[in-house]
Amino acid sequence: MNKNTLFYLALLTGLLFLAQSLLNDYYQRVLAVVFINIILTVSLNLTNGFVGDFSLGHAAFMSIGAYLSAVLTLPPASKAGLMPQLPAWLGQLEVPFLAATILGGLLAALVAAVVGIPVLRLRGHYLAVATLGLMVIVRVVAINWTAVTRGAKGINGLPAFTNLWWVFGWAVVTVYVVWRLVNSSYGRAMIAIREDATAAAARGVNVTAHRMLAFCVGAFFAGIAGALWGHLITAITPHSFSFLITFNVVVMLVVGGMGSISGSILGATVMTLVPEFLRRVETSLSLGGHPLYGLSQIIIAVTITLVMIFRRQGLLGGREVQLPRLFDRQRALPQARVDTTG
Amino acid sequence: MLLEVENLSVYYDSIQALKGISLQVDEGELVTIVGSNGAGKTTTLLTISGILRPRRGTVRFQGQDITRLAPHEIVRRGISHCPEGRQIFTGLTVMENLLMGAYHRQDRDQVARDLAWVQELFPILAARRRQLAGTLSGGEQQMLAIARALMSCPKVLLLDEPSLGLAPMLVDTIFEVIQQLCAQGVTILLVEQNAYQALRVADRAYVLETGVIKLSGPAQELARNEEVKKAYLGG
Amino acid sequence: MFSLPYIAQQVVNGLTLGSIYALVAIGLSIVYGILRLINFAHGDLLMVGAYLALALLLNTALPLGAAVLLPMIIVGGVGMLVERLAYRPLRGAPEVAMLITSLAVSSVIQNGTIMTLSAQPRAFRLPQELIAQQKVGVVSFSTLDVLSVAMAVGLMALLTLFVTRTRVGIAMRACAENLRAARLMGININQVIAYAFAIGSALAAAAGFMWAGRFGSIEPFMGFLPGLKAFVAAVIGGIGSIPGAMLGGYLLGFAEIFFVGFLPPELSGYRDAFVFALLLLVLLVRPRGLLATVAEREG
Ligand SMILES: Nc1ncnc2c1ncn2[C@@H]1O[C@H](COP(=O)(O)OP(=O)(O)OP(=O)(O)O)[C@@H](O)[C@H]1O
Ligand SMILES: [Mg+2]
Repeated sequence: MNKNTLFYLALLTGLLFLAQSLLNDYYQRVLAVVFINIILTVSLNLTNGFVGDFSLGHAAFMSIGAYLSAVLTLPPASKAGLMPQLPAWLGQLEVPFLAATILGGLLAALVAAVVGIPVLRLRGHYLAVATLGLMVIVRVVAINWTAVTRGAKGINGLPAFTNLWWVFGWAVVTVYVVWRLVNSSYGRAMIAIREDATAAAARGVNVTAHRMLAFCVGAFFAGIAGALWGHLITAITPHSFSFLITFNVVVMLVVGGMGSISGSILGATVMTLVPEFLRRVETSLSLGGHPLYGLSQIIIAVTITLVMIFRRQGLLGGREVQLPRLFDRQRALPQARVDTTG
Repeated sequence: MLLEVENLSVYYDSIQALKGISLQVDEGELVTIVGSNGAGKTTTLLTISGILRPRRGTVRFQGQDITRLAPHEIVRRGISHCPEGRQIFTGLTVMENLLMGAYHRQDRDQVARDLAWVQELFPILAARRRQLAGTLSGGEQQMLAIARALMSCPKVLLLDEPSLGLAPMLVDTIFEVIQQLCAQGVTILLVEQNAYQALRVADRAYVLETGVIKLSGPAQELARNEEVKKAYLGG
Repeated sequence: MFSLPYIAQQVVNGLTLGSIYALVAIGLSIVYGILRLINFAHGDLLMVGAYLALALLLNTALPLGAAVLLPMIIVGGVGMLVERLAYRPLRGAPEVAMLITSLAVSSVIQNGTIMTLSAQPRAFRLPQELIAQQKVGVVSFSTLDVLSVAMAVGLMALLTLFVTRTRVGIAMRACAENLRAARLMGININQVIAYAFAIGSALAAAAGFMWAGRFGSIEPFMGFLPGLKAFVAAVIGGIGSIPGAMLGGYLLGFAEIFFVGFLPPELSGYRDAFVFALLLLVLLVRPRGLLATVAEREG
């Protein structure tokens, strides 16, 4: 890490301290959701933005991460009450939050690998349907596997471990890992696949392996985000992670511009805050005494359609914004230019 | 002039495939464009038929600017394009393929007459009428592609490498048909890598190299040109 | 182990469910065939059709036939409108852009319904004589089942005539196979695509009526699952192929019913999971489906 990065990290940390002491609970929670959405968007960018596959599996992977981590972090006492049919060894287990989160991510990645084997041999768009199908599968399992998931009732009373520091930390890790990956030879191969898979294969790129790598890494962080979300809200049900979540993450990605990490961060931030504001407006609006629920989602969806028609490349157009370099004594590293306008 | 291309520049993203080419085809002429792989021949034809949009330049047909028209409008005006690599509809029968060629036409009687005419031109198609086009041999598919293009009753026929991938015997047949069509008054713009044959049958020719017209003139003259001989006629 | 009447009953059930999937799958398949667009809004048109049918049944004295036909016409128009407004401006854009737009269209339709009609489920009651189970021989079914199957088969027969006997219908197949060649032949692809959307959407509306009649209640998100499953059906049959969509629809209908009917009851809660597991399996062993026409690029 160079000085610039350290400086900005320190700055953000300071701001976070300020936020923690100045903001009320509501705003702190919104801020936490912003960071979770950054994790989701940046990780989805790997498949959807850099490799050019279109995954809609983030809700499914979140669900997996959330359920596994919940089962792992719940104290044995509450597990005995909530899930009496749990296998004994699992019932006794109490895993620290960090480990539970990572395990949740790993399980999500494992599931991604299993789904990826049939699907990633085909064009990228089969992935969209298969991953939505995966969401249905995960939900059905969550509803029916009552011994572990408590079925439709869901699991409540999760320890409220998630705070600003956890989500911030994981967001930094996500951005760092994705950034390193994208700027490595793996990343160049991924972009080559997006531009022209046949040509990439002809040049000796192992197309399936790279698509798989991106898909699994994306799923891992989605699982992490699910775990964080579960321990923020402290209750999860089979319907917590719905198509709506996936759609909204896609919106964040697209608004920021696919293929740009800073775009994802920006998109996640904007598209968390704007709808949050809209929802508050929406509940106060009414037409002839009839509340206009759904209006904010309509506005978001229409916006995204207009973005697709008029500014397909999103806010940042697939480029990265760079924060000004304050300590520029060393040679400036050439920044990977990622162009998605084609 | 029936067809005039003026100063045409076409790009694929940032790659310029045509660098301001101009060419003309007069009524009743058989004009050929020869050039090596990647010269821009297909690009030229696709731009004339409205599939590709030029960044600069115009295409005029019968004196009217057709540069910005949709492909189906261009076909309606009388330009028919028989694409490179046949591109017949393999899942449709031979007859259905032919009917698609006449898609925009309302004059049923004339369409029926043209159907009879192309089947006379290519008797094999008559025999295979109900067969799926995908089951035809390569040569038969090429004939179908030409017949299909003729079904739109074109004033100009654009032919993109009709001899590609055919056995020498069939190549001769195809060129015979081209001459026959020409004799019947169909105006033809022929793109070929088989420069020898193309220059033999054509009235005039253009030599295209990396997006630029290098030479043009009567086909016989070009066939005697030393440069052309060296580059396209094998010495 | 299973009695013959029981098996016959399962076949009847598979046939009715399969008819619905087939009708929805056709629309998805023709649109995908031409535009390579996975139209996620397709299932929502099914929902719109069901709501329209309910509105007609509740508020008018129109005969039942009209409550099926009018929504088909209206939804066909809605499908064309959606294509005109949202998809046509994206002609030539990357497939991803269309995919995202279809997600957005889906969201607009769902939330528009919520905003105007609320998210509450509504009862979809058909006249008793339609839904009463009748026993004929060893199997029992309702008049609605018979009508559904008959209507689905009739519509599919009409569609088959359309795509083999009419100029526009043949052009639709031509477009699905090779869009550029179709344009070079002078086919106005925008017109053909508009037809494809109109037909597909109308069929979805018909399916919506059957679906609603079968389950007795409707809600704004009801289109999601049948839409997605119909896509699975289309993939099984070979996406882009109309006979493939029909075949896939019935196969999926039977598979789903048999899964519930012939496997231990503890598993029946997993039926939706089974459908998508089936998709993965099909993609693994026969990625182009059974009657594929669309050549899928690998990698
Ligand atoms: N879809 C495309 N995208 C990018 N570049 C293209 C595309 N199509 C053609 N080109 C490039 O444009 C140039 C001209 O191609 P074109 O197909 O017109 O050549 P051609 O003369 O028809 O060649 P051939 O004899 O091989 O058919 C080539 O350099 C080619 O690589
Ligand atoms: Mg060519």
